[in-house]
Amino acid sequence: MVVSDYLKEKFCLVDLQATDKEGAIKGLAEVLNDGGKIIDQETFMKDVLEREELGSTGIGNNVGIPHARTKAVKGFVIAFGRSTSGIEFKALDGEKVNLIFLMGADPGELNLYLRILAELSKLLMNSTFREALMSANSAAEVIAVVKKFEK
Amino acid sequence: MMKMQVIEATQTDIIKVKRSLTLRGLLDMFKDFHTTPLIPVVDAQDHLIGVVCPENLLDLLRPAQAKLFRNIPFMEMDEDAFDLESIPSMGELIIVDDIVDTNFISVKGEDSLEEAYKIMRLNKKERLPVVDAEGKIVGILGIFDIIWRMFKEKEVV
Repeated sequence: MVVSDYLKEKFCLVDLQATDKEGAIKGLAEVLNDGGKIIDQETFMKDVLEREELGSTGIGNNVGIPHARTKAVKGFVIAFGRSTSGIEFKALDGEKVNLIFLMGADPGELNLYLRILAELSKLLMNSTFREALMSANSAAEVIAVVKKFEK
Repeated sequence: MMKMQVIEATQTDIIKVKRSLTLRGLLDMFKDFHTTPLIPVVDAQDHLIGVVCPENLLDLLRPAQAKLFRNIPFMEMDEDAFDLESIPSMGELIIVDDIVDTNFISVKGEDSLEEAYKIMRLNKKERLPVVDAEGKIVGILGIFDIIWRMFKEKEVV
């Protein structure tokens, strides 16, 4: 009920073409920017990459959740991207990442931001959820999968 | 009478953390703390960036709720925080930078102790970080530190 409050069809890329981490984050940031959700894309990118420098958000199981609290975002934003070939993410398990959720929040949105981070980590522990995301054929299907698995 | 200064009651032997510390590392570090800690977060030069409060940690255990419920505080169902679903990946995914509260109140060592006490009462804080003129962390001032200092002034201790 909550991730899907913010994750919209137009923010889901089922065929992310990027080959590296920065490219992937940029691709998703552009989608959010086009949707009018970002105040300043350059600052947003800088803040997400800086957060990534402090510790990779590649949590294993081919999942990455890059995120940052940044003034470049108003409220809370989330985008999803899927790379079939996989992206090098310096993940904890050393594996490439196929499923990426990019999140950004106004520094004042701490409460919501932490809850959604926790909710997403929980959802993504579930291998059935990950497989369903991998086999979704369209952005609409991605949303349907998220809605099905979240409470 | 000379006014007592904050620095006279400040605990200077404190634990401080960096933005890159993982949630798991943070929890381990404060496992044996016997009171609710106020955890100062500092940069490489010891400038205070923010603090981590237990309330922010609790948010990680509470399920995300729809907007409607978030706006009604008494609708919060804290029991949900006690669900037993395991989310080990959170220990590495979340780092101090994600939970640090940068909107904090601090006092300076040379501030009056009485003023600091009033600030704590007014803001319902049991502890405040103490910084120097450059914003570097000096220590932590707790309500009990102030009480102790007052008794010392009266030569009880």
